[in-house]
Amino acid sequence: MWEILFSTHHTDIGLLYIILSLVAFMIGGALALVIRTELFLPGAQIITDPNTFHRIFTTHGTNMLFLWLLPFAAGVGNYLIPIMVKYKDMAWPKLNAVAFWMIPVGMALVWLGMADFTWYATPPYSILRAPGPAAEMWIFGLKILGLSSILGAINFIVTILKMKHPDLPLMKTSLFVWGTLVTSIMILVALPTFTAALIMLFTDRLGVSGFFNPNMGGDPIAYQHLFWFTFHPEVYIFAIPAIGMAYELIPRFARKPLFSYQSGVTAFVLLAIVAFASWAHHMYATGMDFTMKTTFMVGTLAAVPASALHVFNWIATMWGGRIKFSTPMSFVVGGLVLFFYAGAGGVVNSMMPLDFLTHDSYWVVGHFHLFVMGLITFAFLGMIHYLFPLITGRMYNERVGMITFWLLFVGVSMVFLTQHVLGLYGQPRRVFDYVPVEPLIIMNQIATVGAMISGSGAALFMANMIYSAGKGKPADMRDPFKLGEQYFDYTRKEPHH
Amino acid sequence: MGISLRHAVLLIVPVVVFSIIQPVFAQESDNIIINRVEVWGLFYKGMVVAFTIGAVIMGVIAYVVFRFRESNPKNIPRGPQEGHR
Amino acid sequence: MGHGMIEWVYVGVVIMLLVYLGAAAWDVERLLDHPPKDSKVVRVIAQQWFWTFEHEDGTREVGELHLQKGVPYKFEVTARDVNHAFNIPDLTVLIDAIPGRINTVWVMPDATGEYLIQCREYCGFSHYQMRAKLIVEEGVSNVSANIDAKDIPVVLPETKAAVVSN
Repeated sequence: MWEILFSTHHTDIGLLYIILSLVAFMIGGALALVIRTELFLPGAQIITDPNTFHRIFTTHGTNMLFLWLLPFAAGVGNYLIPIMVKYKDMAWPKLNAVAFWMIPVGMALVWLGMADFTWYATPPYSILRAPGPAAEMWIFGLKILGLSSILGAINFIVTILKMKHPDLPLMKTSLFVWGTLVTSIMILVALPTFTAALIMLFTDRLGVSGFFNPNMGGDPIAYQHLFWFTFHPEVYIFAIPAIGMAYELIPRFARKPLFSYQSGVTAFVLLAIVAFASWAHHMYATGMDFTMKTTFMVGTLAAVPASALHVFNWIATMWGGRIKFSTPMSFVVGGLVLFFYAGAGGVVNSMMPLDFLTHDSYWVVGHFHLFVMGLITFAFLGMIHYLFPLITGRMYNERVGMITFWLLFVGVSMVFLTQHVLGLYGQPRRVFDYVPVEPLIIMNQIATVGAMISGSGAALFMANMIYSAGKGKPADMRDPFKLGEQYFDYTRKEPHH
Repeated sequence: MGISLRHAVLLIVPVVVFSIIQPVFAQESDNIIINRVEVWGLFYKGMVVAFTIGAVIMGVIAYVVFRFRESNPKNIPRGPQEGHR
Repeated sequence: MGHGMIEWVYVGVVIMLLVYLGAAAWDVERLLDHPPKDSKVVRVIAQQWFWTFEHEDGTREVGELHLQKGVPYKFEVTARDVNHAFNIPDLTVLIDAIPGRINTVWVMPDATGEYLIQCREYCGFSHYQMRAKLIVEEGVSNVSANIDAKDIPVVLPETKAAVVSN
């Protein structure tokens, strides 16, 4: 137990990432349940101070994105990539450990600070009004987390491109490898912009600079450009590992070869490039001129065919197969369904005038959660169930796994599809309270009930994982899911074991 | 066959775009539009497209999940297959 | 690339639909982007946590805005401290209020009544209740945007006098 803390081996670090991210997932989820309980009725319920509410949703968002989504993907990548490229470890194991151990530090800063300026940290509010030291702690926390991401990305790129087995061409590695490679390159291109913006926020707060401070001649919109130039590609950075995991699971559980490897690679590369062409669609309401808005609408829509290729690939792979709907596959297919709704809502958002309806409303909240809770978290949960025997040597309880899936699928659909409608009725996001009229009230209540259902699913999931890790039935390591025909040895024997 | 399809798409796109943006030039200054009518009208157009595609894709997924699930009697494995990778 | 035709057809259909939707959006945005030439200007000033409105004639309203049905208005929106966003959900008006900058949006209210004005950009403690009331009233005569404006009496907000400009 003690040794794992000092280990530099990729499976140990991968496991640390996974455990940390699951803890963050549960805590972020608890924060979400607090938010939804508060919004169950108009007026103040369990929170009496709006300030607390603002801190809770800021921390919820920051936590879920940087402490659940990114570390989980890094964890699975750490665990599998060296095996998939047939190398003994990551390229730089010590750097790998350093990158991981930066995360608890960043985590502590974010959680203990509990900033209140939303995870965007938009100035001028974040410079002029947001109270410290919460703001500074958030800024430093994110600096550290960003650095960790960059170090991890460098490690993945070098491992995949330089350390892969000499007899293994890149075009024969699995699509999960491609996804990780593409994601890592995107991280290197996208993150430096936000790194700069964080420093600028900090010096603005100190008063020694006025980049975004209108009182000093600065431009608050400049921050938004820097922020979104990083964070629009970042949402694809969140999604692509999940898509890679779906490519691992679907052919196996459909017992059929992948429909088109080439199409998968093309779609990944296309998506990575086009991701950088659409950032200002988050800024349609800032007073952009017509030509700029049109440009970014086109850039946004251009990413849709790449996603459509992935969806086609998955469905075509399943067609004609003999599909075993165990927990991992159920999660991935459920995630695919929610991926479609998320994408459709995204197309609606990108149509510029519709931004008048949806901008900064609960539609947006519903939309992005369908991505992060729908596609991405479902793919992650499917993957963790799949890897469970590999990591622990035991099998989780399949029936509990399926119950978990259904609770989460129903719950997530209830919360986030309803929130699309709520947004159309005009309820803004980031509000402690809302106009006390129907149908806002009933829709908030449906969303809260959905959140409770999801929460119970998540709790059940953790119970399953923890109990089965200790007391689960030992798994048949050759074929724990009884898939029969194997295209790939489950334990992925390494050359240097 | 493949090449002529690409040519057809290349031809259709500008035709479609022109036919849609035509009205914008007719309506320039005289008649004042009602914003919310235009915006919601566009929204409904988007919804029709989204729900139509949605129905098609959900239908296909539902079919695939149902027809190719392993418990389907039509899906009994037919013995050792040739040509494994 | 894969097993041929069907994937190309599928991608082709997706692209055509996106082009269709994109063109439709471009179309509507063109319409919304140009305020009518005879729009009345209303300055909208957002600050933590209330709204101030200034009419062309100097009248100032706080927390309430009186407009006339059938008259096109151009809002010049700005903020005094942090970012806010001016939003009238029922009239699909939405634009950010950014300190140091003036953003423009226009609307012609086509029905009388009371409407909600709210803030649509997180701005701190009372963001959630930063609201105002929009009251759309009839003009003295029905002002229709199609009729030649010089013969229509206009009600001045502060004196409630009907004035005809020649």
